Amino acid sequence: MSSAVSPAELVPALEGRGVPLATDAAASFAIAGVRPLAVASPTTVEELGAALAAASELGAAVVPWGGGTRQGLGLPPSRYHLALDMRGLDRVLAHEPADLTVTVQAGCTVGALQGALGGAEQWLPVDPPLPDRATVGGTLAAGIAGPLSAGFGLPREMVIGMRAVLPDGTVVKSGGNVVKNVTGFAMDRLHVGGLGTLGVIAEVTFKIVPVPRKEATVVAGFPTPHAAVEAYNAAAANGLPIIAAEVLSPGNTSEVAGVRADGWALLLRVAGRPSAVERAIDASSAACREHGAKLGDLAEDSVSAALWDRVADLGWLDAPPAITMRIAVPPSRGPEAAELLRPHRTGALIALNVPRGVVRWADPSGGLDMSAGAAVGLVKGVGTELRHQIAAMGGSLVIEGWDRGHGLDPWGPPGDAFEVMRGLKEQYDPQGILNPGRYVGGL
Amino acid sequence: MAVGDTAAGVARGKVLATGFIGPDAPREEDLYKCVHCGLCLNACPTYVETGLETESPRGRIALMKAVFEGRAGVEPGVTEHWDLCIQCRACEAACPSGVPYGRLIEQAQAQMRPRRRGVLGRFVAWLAYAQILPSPRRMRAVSAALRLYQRSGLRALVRASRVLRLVRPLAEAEASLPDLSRPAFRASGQVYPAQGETRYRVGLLSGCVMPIFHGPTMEAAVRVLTRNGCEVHVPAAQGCCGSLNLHGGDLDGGRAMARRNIDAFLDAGVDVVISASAGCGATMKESADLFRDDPAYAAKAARFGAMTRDITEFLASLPLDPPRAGTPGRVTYQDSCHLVHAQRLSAPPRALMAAVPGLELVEMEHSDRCCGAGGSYQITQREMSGQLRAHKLEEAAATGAATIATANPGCMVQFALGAREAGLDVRVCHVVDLLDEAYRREGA
Amino acid sequence: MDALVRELQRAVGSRYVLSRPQELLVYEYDGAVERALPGVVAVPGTAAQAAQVVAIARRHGLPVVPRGAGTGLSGGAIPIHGGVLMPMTRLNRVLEIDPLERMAIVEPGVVNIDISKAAEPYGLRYAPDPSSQKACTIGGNVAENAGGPHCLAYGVTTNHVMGMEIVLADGTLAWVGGRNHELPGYDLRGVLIGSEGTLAVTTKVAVRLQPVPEAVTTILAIFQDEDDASAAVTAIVGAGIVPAAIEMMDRLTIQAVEPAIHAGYPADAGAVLLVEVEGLREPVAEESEEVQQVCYRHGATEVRVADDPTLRERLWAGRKTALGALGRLAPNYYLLDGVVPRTKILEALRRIREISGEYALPIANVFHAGDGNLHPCILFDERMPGQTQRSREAGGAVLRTCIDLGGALSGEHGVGLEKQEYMELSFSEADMDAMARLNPAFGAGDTFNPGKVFPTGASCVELLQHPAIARLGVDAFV
Repeated sequence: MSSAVSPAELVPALEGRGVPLATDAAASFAIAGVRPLAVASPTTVEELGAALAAASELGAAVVPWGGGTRQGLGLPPSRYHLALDMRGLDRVLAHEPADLTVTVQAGCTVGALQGALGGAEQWLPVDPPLPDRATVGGTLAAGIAGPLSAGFGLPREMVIGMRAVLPDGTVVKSGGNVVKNVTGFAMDRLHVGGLGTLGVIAEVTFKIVPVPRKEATVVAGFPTPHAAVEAYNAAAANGLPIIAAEVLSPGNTSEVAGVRADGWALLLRVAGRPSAVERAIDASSAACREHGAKLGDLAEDSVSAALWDRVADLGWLDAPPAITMRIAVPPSRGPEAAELLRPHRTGALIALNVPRGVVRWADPSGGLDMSAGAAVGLVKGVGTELRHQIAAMGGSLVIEGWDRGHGLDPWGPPGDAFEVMRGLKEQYDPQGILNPGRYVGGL
Repeated sequence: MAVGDTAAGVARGKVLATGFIGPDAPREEDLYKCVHCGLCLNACPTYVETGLETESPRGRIALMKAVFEGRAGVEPGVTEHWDLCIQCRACEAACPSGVPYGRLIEQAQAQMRPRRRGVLGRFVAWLAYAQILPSPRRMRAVSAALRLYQRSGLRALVRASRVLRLVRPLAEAEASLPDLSRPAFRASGQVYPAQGETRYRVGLLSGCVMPIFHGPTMEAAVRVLTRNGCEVHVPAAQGCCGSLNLHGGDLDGGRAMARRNIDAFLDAGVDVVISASAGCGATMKESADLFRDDPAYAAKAARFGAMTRDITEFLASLPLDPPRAGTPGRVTYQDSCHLVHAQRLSAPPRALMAAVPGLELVEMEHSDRCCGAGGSYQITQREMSGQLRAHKLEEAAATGAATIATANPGCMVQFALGAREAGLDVRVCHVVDLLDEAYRREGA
Repeated sequence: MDALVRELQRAVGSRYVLSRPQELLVYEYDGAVERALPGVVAVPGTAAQAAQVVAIARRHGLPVVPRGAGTGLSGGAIPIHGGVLMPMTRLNRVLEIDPLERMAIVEPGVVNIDISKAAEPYGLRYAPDPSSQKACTIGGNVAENAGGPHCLAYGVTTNHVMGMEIVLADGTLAWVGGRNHELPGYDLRGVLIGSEGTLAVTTKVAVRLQPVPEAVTTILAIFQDEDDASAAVTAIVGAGIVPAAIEMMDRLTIQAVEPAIHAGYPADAGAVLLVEVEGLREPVAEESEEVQQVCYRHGATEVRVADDPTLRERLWAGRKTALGALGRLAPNYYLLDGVVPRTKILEALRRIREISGEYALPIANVFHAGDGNLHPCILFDERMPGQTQRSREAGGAVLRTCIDLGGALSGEHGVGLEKQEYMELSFSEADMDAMARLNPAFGAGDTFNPGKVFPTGASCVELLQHPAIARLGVDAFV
């Protein structure tokens, strides 16, 4: 595929199809120093389709762009002509409180969506960092899951229908508006976590849940992550309504307002009816004490909710960190993985989602204090040593937010069925115009 | 494109000729109650063992439908799958549509009889079904011969000689023989008076196998019944109930034997007819259906069926005189198929065991799955019977029980054999034996 | 054919290759009514053998149709193009249970309920519970993305399967997903679940387990009419309660059930709701109380509550025998599986009543009200001229109604053969084209279960000839 696409071709092609263009914005859509030739800002699905059809005709490479918080994920695009600013598609199209469903455009931020649902005492239990910037589509495409995934599963579990636009501009639907539906294939699953490489998410229908009547957070400090996880296991064995359970590395709890715990902190978020929450508080506090923890202050209701907003944001509070890593291991190996990371950089944030075995690693300083040499050394160490150790546990390690260029694959080995993944890319994006070269295995 | 339901095909007259013959053929209304939903599959021991639809109730019914519709004959490729059915009827209990599978498989078996190939097989069937089972006298003669074999030292000699190794089926048949050194029970018109006030007049089925192989259990049954206010009649005119013939597809032979017992017990003037053998009891309870086309016996058979009770069912329905002494120890219970599936009785035997002080009942996994005894199945389907037996013994052994209780002679034989094979030191007995022992210990 | 049979026999053992015409007859059906004979049946005992069967079939240019227990209701396991039928029933081992990670790895032929039985000693269970759960296999559940009454609170199969080992069309084995919750790469697991065996064959499944709830309460409420009951369903959810299950039976069903099981439903009862709440003791007691109040507020004439297993079973008895009992009203029925948004249940029931009048056929409704999954059951007598045809036309009208109300063609039975010609009601050509491209992406070609899911271009008239008629007694499935 030729990459010789000129602005002189692209802009008129877009304008000719009535696609709204942002002027003078290209700089803010740069990736690894490369600016797009144009920025399209569709406000309807039709305009989105038109933009992609135009790009497809010219073979122009497209980067879909939501809140931009996760553009550090994956490799830089091998070609980059058009940025697709999705934030104009920001409407909540239909909220049916009695059906517990909502249909929303992809460019709506997660925060705005939660605001719209809140009036009906409902919410979407999806909590990416920076929800006021992160869009629904971007969060899904990047496969981002926050602490709530411990209790509600990955965001994909809440998706019941989707409209996506294929690279040639065709709008395709899968699923529907009902919570139970086995008509046709679950195409939405390809786009969730697909980083916009097979199509662009345009609209999503979610099943949603009532906001719990009460919530609280138990905070406890442990000498090791193992001890924290054992306490969690003891508490969880009782079937308590724990909707999030994170273990934070020492020194990081001060980031979270109102939370103080020595050593490794276990944060247990319990929610439901007051009677259930009270029992959960008692039982999980007891489990923590029995495992040698010092209990911190109990956070309740809005204090607890605000605390978790900050836990979700950890590492992202001020600016996107220079380097973050997402490590997923079988959950029983979680504490082991957390300890493995510890020596790599003291002071970095390690947050373990206990029931899911997923570790977030971030440099809370935003990487500003890290010299280029130190960063390179760290990443190389990660690539050679840590990744092997994680792989030996049956896990995977993804590096995000690193401006690459050091020959390290941010994704790691693509696993068993890579030929099928390559086949998907060939089928759905034969021209290779969507986020080219950014995804797993260089797709 | 798909083909419509075969029932509709039948209705449209697409079928040229049914492959079934005679009045006892599987009936259309029974066959098409099966909507092939598959809920029976997991209940079927041979399906669970093989994973093959051909060895499942649904598959066997599909083959019957195929024969009925003229798409297949009563031929190889069909009959061996009916043969592999143990007739445990677990599928019937699992069926939401009420398919009378037990009746269907007996009728299908009956279709196979006249077409059976092989002189030897026909001879053995003739010998067993027509000559020995109908005659208590001949049954006793056979058992006397076997007892002689066991007691004379010939058994030891034969086993030591390893001659049986040459013919494995024979070796297994030999091994499955229960110990016949114990006394037989004989029906001679005797009446055992109730202890204390006579509250019930009951007839006791002696039958064919029970009195010979499990004479002591029959005596225990008499003691337990009389202890609980029953005057027990054992009519001399009775014989085998006919169920083995019926299961083997000899419907006419089975009916002849059933008629004899119906007459014997109705003539005895008892209120209730009791069977300590679940298989016999199931057949007796279903007499009405067996004689539905026989005007002379239909009404009598219905009355006889309604009077029949399994011994555990009857005892559990009484205000039982609880044993004051105990049989301490851990017991596990195997649901006899013809009790739990055919008669749908699972609570009564357990209630009786619960009445025995000190008895700890530990349930084995899949206690309601067939042990593979199935009358002659042990011999005709050695391999499958052996597989099921081995699994059963594993599950029973896992409970750590020293006693395996059940409610049917075939199951007792099968478990005893399995225990010997597995080298397990467990005792196999009837539920009634446990109750009887507890009573007998009261004096001690 | 002989060479094929010999190769298959070498792969799986001769006992497990069936090729005699009589034996093929028992593999021509599943739980519904479509039929087609396979060319040969090969039953593998290991994943490697399954892979070999796929490779052999491909070498002979024949399709492979994977099959679980054959309890499906949309013809998913029917080999309409012949070829090699591959039942996965011998792959029936629970390989591993990890109570700490709350997951199990099982073979595809494991029966759904046996996973929960194996997990029970650890206080865990597998949540999705299709009504055929005593017989259906997890492999079949994965292929159809099966549901069940308790999916209201917990979601369907895809929400509980973490990964699978699969055989691809070229005969290679691969894992998609697994015990690692966040593998990078496309969610192949997600698109395979519900792909009805057309893309790959599952040889192992990693499932999520969840704690057995501490308390369960079943509430049975009797209403004068369906409208009140439907309003109560909406109000229960509106009160912020998400029960584990909400089931409903209409007047016609009650009239059939009462003489069959003597549940004590009043003669004039118009609808019965069954609501199940579960979790910790305290909230369950509160929710049970609230559900009862909501029911009374919406005109319930009687409410019964049970929290021990035996009594709960008794409350469920009417629901569980409902379809069998409908046999008292007519000798045949056509069982549908449409979905509408929960708030449209009332409207859907009204329109179904109209359709019933229009086609002069009684339609009974027994369904999963909580998630709007309707199972209208059209009663007819095939011996009456024209009734069979009318029942199919009425079925088409009901499905169109579901789509008009913003719903879906199938909530849990799948598309398979039964509904492939209706797909166009839900999806555009472009939608279906996108779905169809999964096939070349997986390199599947015609290897797996060809001729399913997508329309074959049959005309409307042919469509109405489609024999999606179940005879009586499939209690198990709704």
